[in-house]
Amino acid sequence: MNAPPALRSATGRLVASVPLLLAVTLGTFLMLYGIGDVATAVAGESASADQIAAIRQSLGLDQPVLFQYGDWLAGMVHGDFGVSFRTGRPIGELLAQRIEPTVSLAVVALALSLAVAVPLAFAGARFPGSVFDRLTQVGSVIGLSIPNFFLGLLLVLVFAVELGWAPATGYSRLADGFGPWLGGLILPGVTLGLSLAGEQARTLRASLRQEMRADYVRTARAKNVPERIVLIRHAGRNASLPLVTVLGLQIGRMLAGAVLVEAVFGLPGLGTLATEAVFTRDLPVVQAIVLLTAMVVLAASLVVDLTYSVLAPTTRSSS
Amino acid sequence: MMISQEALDNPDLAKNPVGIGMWTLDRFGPSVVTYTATPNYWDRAAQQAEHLELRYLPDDNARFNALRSGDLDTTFIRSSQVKSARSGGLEIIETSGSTTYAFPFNTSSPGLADVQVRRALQFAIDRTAIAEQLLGGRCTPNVQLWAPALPPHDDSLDLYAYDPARAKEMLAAAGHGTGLRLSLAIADIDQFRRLAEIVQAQLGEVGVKVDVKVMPPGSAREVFSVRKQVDASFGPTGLETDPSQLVSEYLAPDGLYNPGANENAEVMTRADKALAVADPAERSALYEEISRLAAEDASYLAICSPDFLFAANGEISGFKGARAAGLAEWRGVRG
Repeated sequence: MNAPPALRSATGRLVASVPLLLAVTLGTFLMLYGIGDVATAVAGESASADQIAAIRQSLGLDQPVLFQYGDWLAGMVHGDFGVSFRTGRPIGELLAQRIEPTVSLAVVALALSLAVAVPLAFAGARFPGSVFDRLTQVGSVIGLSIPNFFLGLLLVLVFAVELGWAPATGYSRLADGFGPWLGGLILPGVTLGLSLAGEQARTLRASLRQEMRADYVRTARAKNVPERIVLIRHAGRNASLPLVTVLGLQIGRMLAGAVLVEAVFGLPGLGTLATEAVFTRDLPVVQAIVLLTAMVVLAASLVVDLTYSVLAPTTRSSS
Repeated sequence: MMISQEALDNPDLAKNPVGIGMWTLDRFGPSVVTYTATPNYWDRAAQQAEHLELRYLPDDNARFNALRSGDLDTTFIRSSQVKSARSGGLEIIETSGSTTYAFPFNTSSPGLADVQVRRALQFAIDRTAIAEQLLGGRCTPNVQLWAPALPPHDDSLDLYAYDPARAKEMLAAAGHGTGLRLSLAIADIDQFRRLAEIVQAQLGEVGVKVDVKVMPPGSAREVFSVRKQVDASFGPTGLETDPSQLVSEYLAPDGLYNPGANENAEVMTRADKALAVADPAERSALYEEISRLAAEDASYLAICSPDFLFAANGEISGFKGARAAGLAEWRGVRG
């Protein structure tokens, strides 16, 4: 019996992503070895040359690079991320601690951006050329243009320092209550989400405008279907395909943006961990984060493909 | 805290401490550590606050904004933030720091093997101007490895007053009237970079050309100490609580910041003796002599010892600041 097309497509994408993942891990591994001596970074500020040599040997850093890479990869396949050079703690434990703030930030940023972008795009498509539509377009450009770190600092100064409406820094775990969790993520979420919203609104509005000129929309209007229904149910479904593509691409950019936003708001997430690991040349941690990020981006790409096949059945056979 | 002798070999001691102290650990998170006052602690006068929360915020602006918004009661600040802190009504707590900004030399490099050249470089540096212009006066000019706040510092020592003419004469006498070139590795940190530029300019005034190599934090030490590819490096001296550690890092022939294996017999004789001495006064006198001898040997170029700055928002009292990061004193602090 043949597998459903969507499943075949997903399996194909998964298989195709394996060489890419391997290339990412190998590239990262070799790149970091070009930066400097890991044993010196691990040894700390007051280590002697003998201590550095001992650390190099104990960590296996005196082995051939490809041997080290193979050893590490074998561990990864078995779910062993290794041990942090800097803290001596299992990397899986570090990632587990740091993943919640980053995922929370991404979820809040994405939810806020969609909550702003979708209504604005529909309103802009419904009343094209209106003052409201032009303001939406200007707002989109502003959202795309302001650097995250600048917007973050601005929001902190106004809403945390001057008005005291939200905390300036820190993260409250979801397990400690939904209110404190959300309260601490509003400003970082707006910071990260504004640029996302700008791109989403522009994409969806343009797509809606195009769909509203299609034949099936003219037919629906001829059948006296209310304009609101035509816009949301008929054009909206087809117009959402480019938005889904943009969302898939934004996942990767969100993880990159999280590095800056987490620094500005003092969030102990993966971005902060990545920064610390890079500066201390904590190679295993950097590798784990890069691999995790690559997997998330590939997974997002896969979800986009699957969503396409759900929203647009005609793409199933071709995918 | 005092650690229980029976728990010293516990593999998880760092995360699950066993012992007694003023505070009991509640939570150890990735960016926050919380404590509660230990019941029946012997010194109730020191234990004024019921809870203590220490947060890790590496970004200078994030820390400062957290203080201004009331998320924090006190935090370490940079000298460039003092003006903003004062205008925002925050209290500034200044303490004499325990570190010294210093450029250790590779004494096996051409030119630097000659102690007269190393001494000449000392005279070329206007430490007071650097402390005033770069650090807003919050750095005490110092030619010794140990900061003025530390016991080994010899307060009576008066060496290397700014005298570029004398520096030129000494360099010429040593055969380096023109053309001495030095390479300097420095971490890519704004303040360090600017300090290196000033030192580069001041040494340039006496005819010494300095090639500043800016690199990622961590790499500068590696390039200087391990690969020995540059003539000098830069960094604050460590936060070592015992003077013997600074000797082993900077002055011992196998010291990390002594890649040229410079050995001063007088220094090392006293250092060996100091390790065997139990009397604090005698030990302190020995290290004071070591500090003087090391300054005369000039195997490093010390600039100044930075003050340590905290700002507080008035929600706490009795806080006296810290001599360095991580060494804040919480005894007697009331919240």
